[in-house]
Amino acid sequence: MTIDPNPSRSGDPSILAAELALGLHGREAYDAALRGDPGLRAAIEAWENDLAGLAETLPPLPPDPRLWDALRTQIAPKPSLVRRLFDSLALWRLFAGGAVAACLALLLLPRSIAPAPDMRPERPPAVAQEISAPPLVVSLLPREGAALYLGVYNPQSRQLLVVSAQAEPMPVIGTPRLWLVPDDVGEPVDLGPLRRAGETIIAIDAALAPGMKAGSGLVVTLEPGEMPPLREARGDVLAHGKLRGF
Amino acid sequence: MSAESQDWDPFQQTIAELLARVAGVRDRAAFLQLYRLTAPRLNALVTRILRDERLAEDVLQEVYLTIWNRSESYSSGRAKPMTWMIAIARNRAIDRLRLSRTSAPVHAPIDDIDVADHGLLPLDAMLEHERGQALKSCIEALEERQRGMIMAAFYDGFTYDELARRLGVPLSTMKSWIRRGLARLRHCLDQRP
Repeated sequence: MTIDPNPSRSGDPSILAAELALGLHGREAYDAALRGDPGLRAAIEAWENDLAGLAETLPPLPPDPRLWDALRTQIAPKPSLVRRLFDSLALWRLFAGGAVAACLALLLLPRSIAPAPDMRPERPPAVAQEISAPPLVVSLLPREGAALYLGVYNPQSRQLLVVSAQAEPMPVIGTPRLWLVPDDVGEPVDLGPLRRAGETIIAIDAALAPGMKAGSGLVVTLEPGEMPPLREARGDVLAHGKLRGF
Repeated sequence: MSAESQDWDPFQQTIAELLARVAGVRDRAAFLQLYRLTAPRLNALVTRILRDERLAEDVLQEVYLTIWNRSESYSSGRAKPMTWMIAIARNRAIDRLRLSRTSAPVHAPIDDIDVADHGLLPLDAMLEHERGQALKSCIEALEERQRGMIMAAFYDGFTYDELARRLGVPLSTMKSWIRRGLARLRHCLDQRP
């Protein structure tokens, strides 16, 4: 190979590949090149292979042992929403009697999420008869993407259990707050703050109970912080869903 | 395993096998072994780029999560596994460096880029393997200015525009310097046994 005294004029693809590998044309050009011409991509990777020798010349520097602990937590299998809801002590407390909760979970979850195979109660028909006032459920969905929260309402105890559907706490500044919209068209009524992770149990005031019916809407907004009941929602809407029966 | 990978040294073959187990069955034990074997090297690189140990740890965590999540995209026919991982680590560290650089003055003094430092610091620590030796001798053969600019691009993520502005030279001059250096480097590397 002869060295061109001015490779910029020669348009040597190997030099272009080296420039891209080094990032001299910026990250976007590098990413675009990797997605484009296979020949150029191979040339970039050949340069990266050579230049990797620079990184390997640095004296090894063991990271803090706590870093692996953090990684191990992050790569651990996340329990599914089905499993987390089914394992929720609050669900079992909300509906006195384990069989009722098991039946509820079985009825509730298959509509949006595949059920765990070991959740099936032994005698669902008999158990179902124990539910005199059928529970209501709601999936609170953002405009795009998977559910943020799942809710289960027990009309008998007027308790609403809301479980975060996210594996990690939501990376937001502020407090998610739940609102009831009777018939999904009325004025929103503040039901209080929600935890960003885990469960929240909300006691529904008797005056609001009639609005907790199939077809009514629930809305989650992001408000500036914890505060007493609000007259109106001021924050952005994070998610919305309608209560439904079985 | 591809034909090319048969020629790799045992270390690269071990890394490739561990990556395959991570990609195939999400083997966390394999991932731990991969981490133990490679984290000191990637941490050295990320710390060298960022010059901040705490920031480097944050970035290193992101790097290994990327490796965990994208292990399927690694193709042993295209690159050595350490090359693939080093590219992820370097790109992620430089992305972070660029974020922190946005508030820095555009026209930094010329001392900002220490040509001698960029040329010598990593070379003193070269490993005694063939690739390191070849690279060492080839980089040492470059003119000091060419060597410094190439090192500044590799370790600091400077683009042509940024290097030209920082050194106060026309963009065309900067390109000419670096392209000559890269051509010499390519020529030298092609001569290695």
